[in-house]
Amino acid sequence: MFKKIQNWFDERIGLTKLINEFNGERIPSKGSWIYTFGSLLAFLFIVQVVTGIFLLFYYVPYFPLARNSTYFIKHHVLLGNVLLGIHLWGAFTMIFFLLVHMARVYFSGAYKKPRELQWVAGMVLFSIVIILGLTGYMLIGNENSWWTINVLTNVAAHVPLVGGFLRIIVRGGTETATLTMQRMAFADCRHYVYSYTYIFGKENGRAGYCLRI
Amino acid sequence: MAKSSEESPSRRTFMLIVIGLISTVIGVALTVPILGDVLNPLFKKRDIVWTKLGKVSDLEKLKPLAPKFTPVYFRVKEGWSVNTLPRQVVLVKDVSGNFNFFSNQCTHLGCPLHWDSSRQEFLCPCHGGMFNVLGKVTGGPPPRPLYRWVHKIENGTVFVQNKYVYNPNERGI
Repeated sequence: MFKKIQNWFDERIGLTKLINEFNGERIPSKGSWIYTFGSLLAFLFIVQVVTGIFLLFYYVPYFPLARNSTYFIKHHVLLGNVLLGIHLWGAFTMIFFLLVHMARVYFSGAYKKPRELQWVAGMVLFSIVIILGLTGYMLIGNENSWWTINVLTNVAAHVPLVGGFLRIIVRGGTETATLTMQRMAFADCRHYVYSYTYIFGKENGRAGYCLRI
Repeated sequence: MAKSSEESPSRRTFMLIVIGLISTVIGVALTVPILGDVLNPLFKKRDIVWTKLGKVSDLEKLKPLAPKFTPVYFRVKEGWSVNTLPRQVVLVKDVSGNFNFFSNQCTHLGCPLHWDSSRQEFLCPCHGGMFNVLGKVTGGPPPRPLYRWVHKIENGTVFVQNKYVYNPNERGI
């Protein structure tokens, strides 16, 4: 019975081959687990996108309401605190393993020829994940996120020459207001756009199988 | 030296099963909160509130069989906010002096009715539903007479609840 179902899928989409590809990835025997952090990050990324989409069922990117809607998700939505918790801890874990993964790539010399561009793509993804983390933090709608917006847009203003313009662009105006939140919410939802970058970055990497479905 | 994974298929199968189990657990742990998130409205009770309609002494002044549309505002908790639901109570005094508190919602698909005084009928603009002054269907697709608001009279003041007296299909209000 089970074999029949497996064959049915194999004939059409080659499921067994795909699973074997996932599980049969060849990695150096020495310190094998540290080579899985890239795949782990890809997995965490997918978790963040999925939970993020479903948090958007309730979330409103507008300042007093942002706090209200986050509170509602946490306290009144069925298992909403779990979903919010997965999104929050997924973000923390992602930042942590991002650092671990970058360190692994650096110390194992995986940036050397012919993998220079993987390193560049990795750096792009690194900044994207940091931006996602910051914007996500700004969206919660409590005092912390409000002052994070103010402080970090002021930090951006210290860039030489273009700083002032940068602050206006990031804030969507001269004040931290409605448009700022809209921008932050959009930036945080740009997962969809970024995921293409992610696929690009991972395409030729070791952990490329994960997103090449 | 330990054997490589290619040489021991049983170990490989074991790992495959363990990975499958872990993936299943993670999948369930993700799916359950997501289902809760999506299906949450099913577990929420509607917020039922009383709101003031007017004084009984004012109602007594109404002419019989002349419907009066009176706006009421229900302050209802919805999601993360408190919303004001503006609704209409259609007051109709019948010939024996009893009051009817009709809703202006058509019982077909919920469009708002208006009173056509020349025809002496409530008309629905959507699909041509017609009701007489006492709420009976006189034409068109509506399956049942007009809904009536739940109401009470306390110290000469009339209060209305955002709930119909008889609402078998639990229509939204």
